[in-house]
Amino acid sequence: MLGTYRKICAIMFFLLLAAGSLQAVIPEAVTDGDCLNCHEGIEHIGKGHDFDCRACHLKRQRQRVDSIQDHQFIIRNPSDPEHVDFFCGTCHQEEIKLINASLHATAAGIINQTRYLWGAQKAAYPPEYSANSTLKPLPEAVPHPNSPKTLVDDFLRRKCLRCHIGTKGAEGIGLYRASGCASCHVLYSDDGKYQGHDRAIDSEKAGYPIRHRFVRRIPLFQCLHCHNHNHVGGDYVGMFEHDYDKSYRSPVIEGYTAPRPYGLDYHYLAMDVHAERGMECTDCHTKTDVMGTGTVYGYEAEVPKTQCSDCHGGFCQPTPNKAVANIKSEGEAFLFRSNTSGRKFKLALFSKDVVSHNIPQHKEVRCGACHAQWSYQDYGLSVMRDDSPDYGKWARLLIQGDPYLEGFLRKELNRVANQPPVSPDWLDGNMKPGIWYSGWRARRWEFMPLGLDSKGKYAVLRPRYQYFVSYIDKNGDVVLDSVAPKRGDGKGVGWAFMPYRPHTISPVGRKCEGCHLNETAAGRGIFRANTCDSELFLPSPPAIDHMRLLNKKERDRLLRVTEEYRVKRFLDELTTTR
Amino acid sequence: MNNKAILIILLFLGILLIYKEHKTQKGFPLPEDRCMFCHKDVSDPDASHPVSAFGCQSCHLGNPFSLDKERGHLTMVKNPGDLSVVDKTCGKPDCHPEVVIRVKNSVMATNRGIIKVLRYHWEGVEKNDIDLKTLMVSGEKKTLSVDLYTKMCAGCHLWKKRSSMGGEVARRGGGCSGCHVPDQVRAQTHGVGHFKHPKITTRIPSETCTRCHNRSARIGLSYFGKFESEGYGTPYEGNELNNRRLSGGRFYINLPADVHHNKAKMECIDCHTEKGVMGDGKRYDSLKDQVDITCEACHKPDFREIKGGLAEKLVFLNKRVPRIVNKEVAISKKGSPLYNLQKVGEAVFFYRKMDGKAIEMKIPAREEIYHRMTGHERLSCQACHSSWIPQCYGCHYTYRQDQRQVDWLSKRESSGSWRELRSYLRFSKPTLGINSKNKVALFSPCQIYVSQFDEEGRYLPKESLKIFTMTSFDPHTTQKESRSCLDCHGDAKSLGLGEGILHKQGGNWRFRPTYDAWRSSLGIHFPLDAFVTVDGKPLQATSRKGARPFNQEELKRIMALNSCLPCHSEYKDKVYFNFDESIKRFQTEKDLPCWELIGKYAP
Repeated sequence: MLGTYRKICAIMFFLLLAAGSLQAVIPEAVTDGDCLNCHEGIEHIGKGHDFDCRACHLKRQRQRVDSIQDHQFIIRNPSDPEHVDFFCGTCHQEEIKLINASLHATAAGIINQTRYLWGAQKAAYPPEYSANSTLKPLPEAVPHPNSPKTLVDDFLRRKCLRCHIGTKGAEGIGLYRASGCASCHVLYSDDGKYQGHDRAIDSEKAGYPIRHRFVRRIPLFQCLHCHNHNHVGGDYVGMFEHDYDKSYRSPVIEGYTAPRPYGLDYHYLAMDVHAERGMECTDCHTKTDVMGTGTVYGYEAEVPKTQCSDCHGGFCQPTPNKAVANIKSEGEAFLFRSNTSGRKFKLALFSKDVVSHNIPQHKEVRCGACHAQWSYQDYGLSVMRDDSPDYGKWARLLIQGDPYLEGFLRKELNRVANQPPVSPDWLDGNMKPGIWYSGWRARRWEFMPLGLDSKGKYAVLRPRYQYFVSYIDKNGDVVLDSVAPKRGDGKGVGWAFMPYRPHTISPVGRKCEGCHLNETAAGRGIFRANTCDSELFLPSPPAIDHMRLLNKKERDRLLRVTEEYRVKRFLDELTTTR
Repeated sequence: MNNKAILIILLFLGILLIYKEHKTQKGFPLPEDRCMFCHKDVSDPDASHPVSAFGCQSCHLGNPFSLDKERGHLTMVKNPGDLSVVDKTCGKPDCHPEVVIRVKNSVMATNRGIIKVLRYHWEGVEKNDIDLKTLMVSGEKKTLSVDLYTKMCAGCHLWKKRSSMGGEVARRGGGCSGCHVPDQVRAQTHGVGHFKHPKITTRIPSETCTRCHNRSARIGLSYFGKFESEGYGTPYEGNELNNRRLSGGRFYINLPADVHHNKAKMECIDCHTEKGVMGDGKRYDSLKDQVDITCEACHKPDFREIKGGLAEKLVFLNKRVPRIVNKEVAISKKGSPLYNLQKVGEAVFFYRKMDGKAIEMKIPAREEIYHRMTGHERLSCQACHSSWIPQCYGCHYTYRQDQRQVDWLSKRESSGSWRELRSYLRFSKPTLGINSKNKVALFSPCQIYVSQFDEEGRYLPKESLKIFTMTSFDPHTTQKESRSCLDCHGDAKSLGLGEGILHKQGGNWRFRPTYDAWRSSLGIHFPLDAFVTVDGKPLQATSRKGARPFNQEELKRIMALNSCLPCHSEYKDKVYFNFDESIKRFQTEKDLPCWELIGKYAP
């Protein structure tokens, strides 16, 4: 017993020693002056980081050298996952631990759900794989895939994992950002151009942060560098992607088509009311929401997050959650102070005068199920990995929201003799043979089918996704021809509709018929008789067991008219200020 | 005696004449139509135009007296149906002169509908004096809208020569033959002498119609359940985009087809009469006025006993639909006999024109209650029975005078090139409004942005246009079941407000729209899908006089009824017999069952 104790002590001692030796030590010979000769005017990185340049930007093995002649040993982004332990880790071990377990770093939701839907693993939850090494690292791509199951890792690596903090992702308008801590805490403008005073930095060249500065209050536009396209985040400001075909490069404004932030044109729909009033993401999303709790989560809704009721009250508690630091009561009213702008907002409280707030069954309904004004409904996702140099068919479809793909196709379509396609693996950063193309059957914003989320509450569903997988090998032979993948546990086709929280909140809820007596909301699609295309409007079960579609009883209840429903609806029509 | 001698002489002379005549017949016979000398064995185009009786020249012109190929073919026309020669061929006095005049005045030949609408909206021209023919003849300076017409629209009309230009376009046009001579491979058996003549028919397959009628309102697509999609070409097929293709690099997806096609496998000509298609001689300003068929013509038919005349003739030509003997046939709104809808005793049979298959129709003696509802008198059939309509929101043209484009009419390039972009497509939840016939009908957007550029490629802000219209047409997506009451009375988009949340504030209706056209850089402060504001202020124009969105009064009534719907959900509900009275009673009489119920749940 004592022996074990001694052993532990010894191990701890060595670990501490090792940890100590890993810490960045400020070298003596190289001075800031060496750097500042060129980087004259560079901003101070910010309060709390009073180090000289070397402490953060010089490679570990070079920390003790006398002088540096070139940039060979300079680390551009010390917070990149590769270096973060050595640099930031000295002080921020706890935060690094948190972020590494968070979905921002593991991408475990995307990875495990997609692998499950494509048949590569038995279940999407609990998560098995992650983009980093928190769980089992995502397997390498299989050299000769012959099924969705053997293709999925390549698909994830090259198509989906562009957006996690292990990589800085694709470059393009709106997409410029760093990796690691800096992906949030160092701000990039949409054009990726430097606006500071460092003389050595070319302010015309894209790919630099706005300034050399860490920030704690992260503005909305920074989050949008990743949370764009038809994903939550984009909806908060009302963005909805235009279709891919070249006839959708509209409108023509003053003679020009508009620049395409995030790689595509956007429709602007009604903003979330919180955005309308000037609130930003981090006003609601606290450090825990974003950086996690240290627990490895398997999907977004599992992370404990700020709830609507924290500010507005709800069925269970009539007033805001007093534990939220930004909320102060002022007489009868409650004020919310924005972190980002410092502005104060009088909180609208959950009112029992609203008829639908007075229906006990609605306790089981997410606020968003009524208050979401629109939703991302992207039906039927066809994806094709093509290893052969066959580009002509994409001439009208080269803009798919993927700046790398667009650049590559433009180049190849102008060439006579084509090169076989290559594209980046966003996990290991290597170029690999083959490229992924994608297309939709139809994209809509007006439909909102309902299902039950992981907490058993009624929530809006969105298709994520209804895959049709194609694979063409390097000889142009068709290996997979629009195959609908099979789920890993054999429970049917690998198509899923997932409950989510649309960030398209309207101050007034939708009418009762947004859900009741609404065939589409009940999950019956939009036509009575369906075709091979319109049947894609029918929801398929979510990828995670503890979420589900409405069962027959729930569906019937939604489509049945009871006496109570009639009266309540009538009162709602007649009296309320919804 | 003298008389007798004269009679004998005359008789003798007569015999001599016959003998002489008989003698000359013995020589080499001179054919009337020497074309047959080479083209010995040509099949008949149809039973009504046998080659043995007509020869070749009567249709194809040329020089029938020459045995020399060059001379014989000198003035020959390959396509007698071509409108530029048709007066001498199909339309000559002994044949179909009356039909040819009608065809030349029909909208398929004049394109007056397109031209009028364009000129009205783009240039404010109220009285259109231009049609396709005047544009073909005159070389006058074209206005912007006429230039758009000649370069983007004028590929579909009957004056167009068949086989000119490529692809689907080549198959369009050709005058009478455009419809009556379906596409077929030219079959030559053994050299020129043995030749299979293309068939002339009145049983026109729908493919013939859809090679033109697949754009704009896209009726020829919708009827068959095809919706021109956003162009993804998904799902992929092999290593290609899929094969559900339309002309012009377009793709389609499948949606529920019209019940007439889906259930009865009916073709276009089953409904569309010869008068509707070829016109009645009047030069109409819109296709809609020329069309003869209505839903009621078949579903609420007016039968007449007809002896001989057009109906018999059409039946004879059709050869599949049974003869009309001792039967009554239905009459269209313009008085054409619908010869394929016949009353046999008490039973009513509809016969498909392509194969003559009989379909028994159930025509109720008295209209069902749901078709007699007070307040629904103005509803068109389409308002409830059309399940979807193609909707193309935001049409963005660029017009570059520094580039050139071929004009369909002159087939020559001229300066000015058009390119068309879009905002988005939809098919569900058709928007309702009032059409030019004062009926509640479906509307679909036609919203034009034109960005003009001069010869140097400079943008011309002042010459650029924005025109927002909603157009009413029958989408040809009829379903047996109707839309539900709530679909119209409670849906903001159906009412014409667009997608968004309709709610009450301080007793008044308010609307929170979903589409933000201003932030989408469209330069307008209303959503593309909004026809009218919640206060009844029209936001978009229409293309027909009298057509409009619902006004404030109508909106109010429709929305007021929505409140009563889930309780009073039956057509035969008494409250709808006199709805105004019912509302008054509801407001004044506190002992109504409504109030009793309300008291139960909201004391």
